Amino acid sequence: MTNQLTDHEIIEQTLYNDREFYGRLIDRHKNSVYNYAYKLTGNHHESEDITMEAFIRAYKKLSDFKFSYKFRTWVYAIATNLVRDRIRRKKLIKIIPLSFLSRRTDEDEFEQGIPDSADGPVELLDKKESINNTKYIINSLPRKYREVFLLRCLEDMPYDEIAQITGLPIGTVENRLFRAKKILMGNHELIQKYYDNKGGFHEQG
Amino acid sequence: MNKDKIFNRLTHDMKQSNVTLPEGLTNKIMTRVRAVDIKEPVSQPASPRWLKPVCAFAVILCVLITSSILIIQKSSNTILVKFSIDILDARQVSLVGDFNGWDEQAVELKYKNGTWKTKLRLKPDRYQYMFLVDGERWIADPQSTEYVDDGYGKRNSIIDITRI
Repeated sequence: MTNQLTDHEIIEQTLYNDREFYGRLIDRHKNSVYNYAYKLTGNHHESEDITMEAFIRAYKKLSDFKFSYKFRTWVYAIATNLVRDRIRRKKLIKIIPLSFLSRRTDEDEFEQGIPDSADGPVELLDKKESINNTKYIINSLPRKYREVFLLRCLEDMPYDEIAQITGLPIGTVENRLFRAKKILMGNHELIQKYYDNKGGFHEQG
Repeated sequence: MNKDKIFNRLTHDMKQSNVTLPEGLTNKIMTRVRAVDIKEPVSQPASPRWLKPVCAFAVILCVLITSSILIIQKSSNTILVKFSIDILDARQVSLVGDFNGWDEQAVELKYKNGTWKTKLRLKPDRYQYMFLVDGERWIADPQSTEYVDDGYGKRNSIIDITRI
């Protein structure tokens, strides 16, 4: 029943009927916003703060929401600006040197990110390694390429939506994606170590 | 190595590497949300100038004809419609119709001063609807100007906003 309501309908219900409807929007988008923030910041506490703040700011301005936009675009744009602010203020993200690429895992940092699920130790270890190494790969990109790379490659967003979120012209978005791909594929050492850690590159399907 | 294949594999792996959220995140946010007062919507998407007098006329017309459906404002492609009904002995009233797939739980009306009311933004169209009282009593809108047989021995109310 709940799934029948679109994001716009939930916003209307939140505005004109009952603010508790907003919880449905949070449930629908929190996972992707949190992971986007995490992949940009690499820090769980920051990601939780950014996710909370993004949804609260969106709620405060909900009466100004333009129904010609998607709610997802809006909340991602807020989250993107929050990450940028934090980077500016705290110099949160540091480029991690390639020499750190190894099998090491930071237990403390990833402890909270591991689900309390039915995953066994092997699966959990594999998930930690995967999370750890993909973070290095994203961090190997210059910061200005990370946002567009994450939104396009990991969230499958169209160029125009990425442009709205980042505030960049579409041409710049396309250019940054092209450059990001080139940088990643030109970094043989990074790719080699990534797939060595994963047991080699095997084509899928 | 085929670079495109490697790149696609790389992005696929990264997509799979989502972290799990801390527990209770929605509740934490909603606790903060409940403490926030947001203003009633005032700015809606801009409508053409000629539309304003038309909408004003529609509002006056609707107020004269019925007290239960009020066309408030038309945006570029949707119309804000206020539904209300006076029922004193109800504990819960829902608005159910074509516009919400006849979902009995999608739109609950709020009670204030003897009137149950809600607002919906609808695309210009012709809709059938009913009020559902306490989850069991189906009531057609007594102020509706048009009805249609619902096939179950009752009548659905009709709201036609195609020409507004």
